[in-house]
Amino acid sequence: MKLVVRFSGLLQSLSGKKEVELGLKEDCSLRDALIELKKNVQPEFVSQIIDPLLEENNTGPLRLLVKNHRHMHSVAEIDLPLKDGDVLSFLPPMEGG
Amino acid sequence: MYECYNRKLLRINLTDRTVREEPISEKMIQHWVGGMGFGVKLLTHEVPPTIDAFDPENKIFICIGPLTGTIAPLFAQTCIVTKSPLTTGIINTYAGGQIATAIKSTGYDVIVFEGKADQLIYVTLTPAGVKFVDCPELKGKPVREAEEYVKTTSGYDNMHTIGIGLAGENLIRYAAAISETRAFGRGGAGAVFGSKNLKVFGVVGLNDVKVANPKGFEEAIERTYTAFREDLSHPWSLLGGFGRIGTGSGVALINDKHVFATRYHKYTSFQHANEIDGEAFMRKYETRPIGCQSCLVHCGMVRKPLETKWGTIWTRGPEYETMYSIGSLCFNDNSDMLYYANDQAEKYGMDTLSLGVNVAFAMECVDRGILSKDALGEGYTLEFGNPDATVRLIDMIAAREGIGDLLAEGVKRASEKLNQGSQDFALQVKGMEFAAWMPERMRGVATTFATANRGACHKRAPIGMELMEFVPMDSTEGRAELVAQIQNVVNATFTLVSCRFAEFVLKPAQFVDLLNNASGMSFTAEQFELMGEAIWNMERMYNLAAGIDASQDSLPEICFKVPLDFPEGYKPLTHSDFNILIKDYYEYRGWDASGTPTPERLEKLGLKG
Repeated sequence: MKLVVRFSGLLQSLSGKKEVELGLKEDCSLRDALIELKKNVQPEFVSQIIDPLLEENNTGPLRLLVKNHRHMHSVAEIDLPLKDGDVLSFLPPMEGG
Repeated sequence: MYECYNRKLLRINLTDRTVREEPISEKMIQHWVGGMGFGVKLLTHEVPPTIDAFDPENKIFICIGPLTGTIAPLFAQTCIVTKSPLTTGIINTYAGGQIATAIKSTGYDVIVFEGKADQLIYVTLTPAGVKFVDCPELKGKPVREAEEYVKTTSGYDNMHTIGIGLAGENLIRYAAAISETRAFGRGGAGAVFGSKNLKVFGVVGLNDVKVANPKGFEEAIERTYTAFREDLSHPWSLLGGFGRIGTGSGVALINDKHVFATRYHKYTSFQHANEIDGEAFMRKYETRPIGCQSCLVHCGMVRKPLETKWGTIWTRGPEYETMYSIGSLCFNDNSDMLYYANDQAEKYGMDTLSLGVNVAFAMECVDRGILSKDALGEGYTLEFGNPDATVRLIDMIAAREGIGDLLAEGVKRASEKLNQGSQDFALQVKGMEFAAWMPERMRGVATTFATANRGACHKRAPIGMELMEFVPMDSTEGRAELVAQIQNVVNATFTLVSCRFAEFVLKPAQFVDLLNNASGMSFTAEQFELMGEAIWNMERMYNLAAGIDASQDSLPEICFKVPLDFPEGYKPLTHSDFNILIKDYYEYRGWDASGTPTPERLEKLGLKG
C-alpha cells in the first residue's frame, strides 16, 4: 500500500521534503512507516523527530503528527496498523490568542 | 515595597487642556495589580455604563504593568481600556512594541484621556511636561505619517507614539489605535481616540525602573528564561515557529484540521491556504523578524517594501488572523493583495479581523441577493475571491463612502439595517466580529465567543487544547469549566500586561514569581487567578448595566449550519449542545440563570458593596 507523508513549515525545512510517498507492506503499522521514512528525510529530522517518536513514552513530537486530520496523543497509536489511503502530516503546533 | 510601580496616574483633560496627577493607592495595587486590572477598575467606576462610547464622558485608560520596562521577557504590551463603540460594553485591547516602556519611564502607570478637544490635536508627554498641539494639517493622514510628523515636530527622536488614521477620525466602529505598526485592534479604541479629536499621543520619559528584590528578581528572570529556552529548544516549539515564520506558521495546521473558516464558513478548509500562509509570505517576500522590548520570540515580521498594482507596501505582518479574515474568509488567495490590505488597515488604523469580516459579509450579502455586485461602482465586481473588490471596499469603508458607510458600523448594525435574514449570518457576538476559528467545530471556541466580555474574541479560549486534541473538540464535557479557567488566568496575566504568548509557556505560579520579586508583594497563584476572575465579573456587571444581557451570550444561526466539507468523525455544533455549554458556564461561574453573578459569588470575589 501507499502512504503519503506531508511536511509543513519548519518541519519542511528540517526534513528537506514537502511530500514523500512511501510504498509499504499491507497491514504495516505507523512505526514501520516511520522507520521507512527515515531513509527519505534529512538526518536532522530523523534525530530530532522520528527517533524521539519511536522512543517509549515520548509524547513531545507526537503533537506534530496528524493522521487523517487528527492528532494522536498516545504512543500506543504508533503501533496500530495503517490503512491504504491514510495521510500523515507533520505540522507545526498552533495556539490562539 | 512596590518599587516596580510609579504609583502615579496622569489625567489629561482634552476639553479644557489641563492635566492632573493622582497617586495610585496601595489598596488599588494589592487588589488589581496593574494593566487591565487598573483599567477595568477605573472605567467601571468612572464611566457611566449607559453613555454612548463617543460621548466626551467616555475615557481612555492607557495602562502598563508592574513588569513593564524590566528585563522580564514578553511583558512589553500596553493595555487600553475604554467603552467600546462596537459592543457598547467595556473593552480591553493590547499592543506590543516600545510604547509601554516609554510610558513607564515617564513616571506614570496609567494615562487617562478625558473629555474632547475642540479640534484635531496631538498631545505629547515629555520631560518638559504635557503639550497640547492643534494639528489640522494631520487630518486624514495615515498613522505612520502622523506619528513621524509628531516625533519630528516635537524634536524628540526617541519618542514613541500611539496614533489613529482616517478610520479613527471617521469613527469607524472597529478603528484601531496604532503604535508604530502595532495595533490596539479589537473593539474600536481608535474610534474613541477619533471621537475625542486625539490624533497622536507621543511619549518620552527619563525614569529608570526599579524592583523590590533585585537578587530574587534576577533569579526569577533566570527561571523564566530557562522555561522559555527549554520550550524554544524543541522543533515543536510554538513560539519557535512564531519567531521564524510569524504567527502565520500555524495556518497549515489550522487548515489541515479543518478549522480555517473559508468563504464565509461555507468550508472549513481553504484549498489555496498555502498561497497565503506564513510560509508563503516567507517564500515570496524578503522578511526580517522584529521583537518588542525584552522579547526573545520576535514574532513580528517586517517585509521589504513591495510594488503592487495597488501601490507600494511597507508593512509588518500579516498575522494569522488576517490570513483568515481578509484571506480565507473572503476566498482570497492573492498574497500581494493580502499584504496590501494589511497595509491599508495599518494606514487607516483598522482592526483587520473586524474589517475582513465586514468585507466578507458584503460578499455573502451579494451571494444571497441582499446587496448588488455593482455596489462598489464602475469597474468593480463585489464577489468572493476578487482582490480588486477587497482593496476598493477597504478604501470605501475608511472613507465611509457608499456601501462603506454601512459596513463602517460593523456587521451587527449593518445586518440590522439590511434585514432580509442577514442577522442570522452576521458573524458577530455582542457586536464584535468573529476572530479566526470555528464555533461549528470547537465547543470551547463556541463557549468563548458567546461568553467573552469583549464579544466574539479568541484571546481567552482553549484553542490549543482543542486544536491539538488534548480534549475532544466536539465534546461539551468539562468545556465550560476549561473556558472559564482560561478566561480567569489570562485576565490575571493581563494585569501584568504580558504578551498573550507568555501564558503558552509560563504557569500562573511563574507569573507570580516575577510579580512578587519585582513588587515585594506576596501573591499566591490561587490569589492571582481569583483576581482574574474578579476582573471578569467586574466587566460582566458593567456590561449588564450597559444593557448587554444574557440574550447576547449567543451565536448567529450560521454557526449551527454544517459547512460543506465538515470532516467525518466529528459532530457539528447543535443548539442542544450550545445550551448545555452556556448552562454549564453560568453554573461554574456562580451566575444565576439570567447570567448575573450571584451576591455570594461577588462577595467571594470581594466585589460586593
